[in-house]
Amino acid sequence: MSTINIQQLKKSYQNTQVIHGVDIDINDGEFVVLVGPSGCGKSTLLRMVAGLESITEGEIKIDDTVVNDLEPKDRGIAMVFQNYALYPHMSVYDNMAYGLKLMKLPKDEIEKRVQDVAKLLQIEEYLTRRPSNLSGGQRQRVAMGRAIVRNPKVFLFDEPLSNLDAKLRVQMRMQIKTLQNKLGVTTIYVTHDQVEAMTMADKLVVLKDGIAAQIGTPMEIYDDPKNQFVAGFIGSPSMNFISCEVTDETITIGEQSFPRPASVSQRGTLTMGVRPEHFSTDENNPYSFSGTVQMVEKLGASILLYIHCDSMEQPLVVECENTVAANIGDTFKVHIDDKKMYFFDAKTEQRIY
Amino acid sequence: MIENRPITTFVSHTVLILGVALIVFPIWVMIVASTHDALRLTQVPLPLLPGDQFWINLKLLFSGKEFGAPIHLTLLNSLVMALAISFGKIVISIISAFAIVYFKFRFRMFFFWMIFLTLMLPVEVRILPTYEVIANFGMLDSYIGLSVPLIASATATFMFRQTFLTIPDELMEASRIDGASPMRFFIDVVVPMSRTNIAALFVILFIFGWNQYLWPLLVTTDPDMYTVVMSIKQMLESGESEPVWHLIMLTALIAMLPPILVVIFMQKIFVKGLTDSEK
Repeated sequence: MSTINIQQLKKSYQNTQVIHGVDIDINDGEFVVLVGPSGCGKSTLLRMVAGLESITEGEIKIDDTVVNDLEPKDRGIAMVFQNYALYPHMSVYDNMAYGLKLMKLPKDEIEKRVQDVAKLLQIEEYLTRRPSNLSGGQRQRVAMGRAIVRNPKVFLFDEPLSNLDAKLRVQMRMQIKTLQNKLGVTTIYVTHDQVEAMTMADKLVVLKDGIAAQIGTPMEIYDDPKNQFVAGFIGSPSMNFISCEVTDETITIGEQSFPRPASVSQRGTLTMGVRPEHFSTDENNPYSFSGTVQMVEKLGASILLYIHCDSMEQPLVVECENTVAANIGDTFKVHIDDKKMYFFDAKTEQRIY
Repeated sequence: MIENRPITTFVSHTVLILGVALIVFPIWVMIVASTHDALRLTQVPLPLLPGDQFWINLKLLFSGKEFGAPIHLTLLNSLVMALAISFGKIVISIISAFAIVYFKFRFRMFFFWMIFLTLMLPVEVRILPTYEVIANFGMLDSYIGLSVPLIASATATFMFRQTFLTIPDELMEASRIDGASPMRFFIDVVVPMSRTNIAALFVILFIFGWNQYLWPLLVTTDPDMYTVVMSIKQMLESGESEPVWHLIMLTALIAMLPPILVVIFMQKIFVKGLTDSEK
């Protein structure tokens, strides 16, 4: 039950700065996901909240208390690591009870808490086993149990699902989210997987090179990305970017010219963004391109077509229904839905329309 | 390798049998010699079958007549020295390795390399200055004098360092979040996780300590402080009289037993400690 305020947080190692002033406000009980490509500083940020990394500049408050100089154990946090970090020589029970023993809780209290959490996570039957005798998913649950049993104010997850296979990942994703909902504990979750980020987050923080590129709900970020990076990172498969030239009357892509959409008032070179799922089938749509199909990916529910158009450097990725028949080498005509176009400044990469 | 070639099998067996014979024969001679009396051993040819004097010889050894200290005293001295050396070495080197791996302090690498460099200095090289120091402290003819100078160990420190480096950092971080102080982490996580290494080292170090010869020879002058290994040599030089071969061999036989027992009983854990990678 607590809030977290991160203000102008900066981190430098010797001469390289990895986090350049991040501000995040997290409400009580919120599930915040930090997402970004590797090296964007998301894990560092999380570890600074945990107290495992020192803070170069700025402030982290948990429940309005500045925790910059507090030891991890005094911050009221619990953390789940990517490789689980279970103590290999202790039984599951001891792994979960270790922190409580160090808190000097009475024995029966520890026993009760561990049993309750074990029941919650359905790991009661493994309590006497060693972590090495558990499967990945079970270890994952034990790691979460170790976090929950401490009754923390804040949960910190550092890419906890990346060591699991795809199917289990989806299951655990749901379990973690349900559990967090039930316990109502403020949570910060780090991942590089944007599907995980979208599905779990109440609030999404997209990080790039140590800067919060955008903060918002998953749908806000999907519908209304602030810049080209966020637009490309969120959404799968990622957005197509097409370089275009805008004049008073027309918008030119390669050799083809189209009427300028009314909303675009800036002139010059812009980058147009279209999500693969936003191509329309409307034959009368003026924004149409034809190209050759380079590659077909059949996903089952839908089909991804990689279409090479002469006017573009990158192939267009188009998601269409699985009834569409297209083979490699075919000529294919696609129409861009003019209501679902994004425009970015070619230089600043900021979204303008 | 699973092959079925009779000649290869024959050759490899021959080589193995020869090797075993080469090692076992002297030991057999030692065992046989320890069961005869002094007179029989001066006659040619040497006996190759055991005699009936074993218990008498054993009694003689424990009585301590004819030469120096009784064997149970020297055995005890050896045991105390070997145990003190192995425990001392393990305790000191595990703690220094812990400091080197888990703490960031000035000159950390300098200290590491200083320790590492001493790897290249065997006891014999520094034996005179060490003797000087021990003599000035008045530690001659004492267990402390016997064991302390041999306790510092670069090898063990280095081994523990390598072990600790394989323990994932996340464990340290997890225990920090759990509220463990560095020493708690050391006792609750690091030591239990290195227990197979500790056992392996114990075997090596116990044998190293037990087999010490030169150092005990220097620091002990009182026969009551002799170790069993050096007492063998002392018996060879016992004045003008003939060397008492039957007793010497029996002493050698008894001196061999503790290291063998240690190896036998700790073999499994020893091998595991050297090859273990289940972290």
